[in-house]
Amino acid sequence: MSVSLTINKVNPPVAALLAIEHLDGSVTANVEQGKATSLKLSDDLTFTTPVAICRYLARLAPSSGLYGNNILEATEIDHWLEYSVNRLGNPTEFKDAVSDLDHILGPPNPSWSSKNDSHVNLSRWYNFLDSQEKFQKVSCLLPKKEEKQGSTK
Amino acid sequence: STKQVTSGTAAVIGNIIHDVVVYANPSSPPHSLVYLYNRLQESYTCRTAVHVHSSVQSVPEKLLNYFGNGVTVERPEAQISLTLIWKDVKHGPEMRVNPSDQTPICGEANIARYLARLFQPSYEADLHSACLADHWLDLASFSLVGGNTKERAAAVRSLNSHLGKKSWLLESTSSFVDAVVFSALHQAGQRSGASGNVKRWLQGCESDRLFGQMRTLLA
Repeated sequence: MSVSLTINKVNPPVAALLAIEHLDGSVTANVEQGKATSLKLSDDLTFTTPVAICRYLARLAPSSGLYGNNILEATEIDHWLEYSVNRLGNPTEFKDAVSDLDHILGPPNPSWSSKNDSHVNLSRWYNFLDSQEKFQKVSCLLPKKEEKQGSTK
Repeated sequence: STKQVTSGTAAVIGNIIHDVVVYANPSSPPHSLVYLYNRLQESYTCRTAVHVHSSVQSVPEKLLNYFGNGVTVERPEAQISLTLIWKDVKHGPEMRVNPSDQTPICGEANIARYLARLFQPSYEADLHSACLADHWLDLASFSLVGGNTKERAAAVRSLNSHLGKKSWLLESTSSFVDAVVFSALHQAGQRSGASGNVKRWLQGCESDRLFGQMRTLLA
């Protein structure tokens, strides 16, 4: 099974590229450059959003575990997909969403209030992901920013 | 109505009662929950409970009888317990299934996905039908509920065009996807201005058996 993802080099779909890196061997994905992000299946079915592409790839290669291993895990994944669009992707929600994320990534039932602006849990999690080989591979494909952005940005 | 108990449901939820708790803001009720409850009842023995959290001053009587006044099942006989708590939640409805080991599931479409995985696991068994369901569920949560004015208008146009060819979003009968999009249209304030195919479809939803006493809830 093979699929073709078209990406715009200036604004690549990071989540879709990461999903491709995490596919098992049953699916191969070719990445081509073009005008806009799209994954075309047939004349009447084309995915254009990173979330739709991620869902499709996860369903296409179930043994890669990208959609979890039971119905609750699958639904938690749906929750985070929506969080990425409706909370983190919304400029007016962004600051609150980042604080909430930092809180969730912290220890359960902390004895002190972990809500502050330093976002230590989020930074630790981000840096951990960023150091993974598959994430590094995708990072290399991204356009260079003038200055490396803060890890919680 | 006929009650069909599908085999193999115990394999999904096990033999102990499956507790599902939904927190929702009374200012924007998650109307798909009524539909989802009616579908759950086709496969499981369900009990419901409705409570009001202290963050909410008062709720209309109809929201206290959200699931209607049907036959009540005692907790020991129930396979699924669905508890709705009216609460001042900020980011859409939240669901908890396993409070000790789970972040809350936010968003009506995701609550619907979970419950549909309980009563209709086949919806995502086929890749193509799963993608179609996700297409309309994402339209509901990203464009109608989370989107701006322009995105909402585009979503309504897309719905109107699709419903020109079909009576229901997915199949020849109503599905949980219709219920989620129906609810999202209300929350986005797009119901009163709906025209043409969308209006006809909204009326179809309101008179569909699985939407229960939707007209009373909306009145």
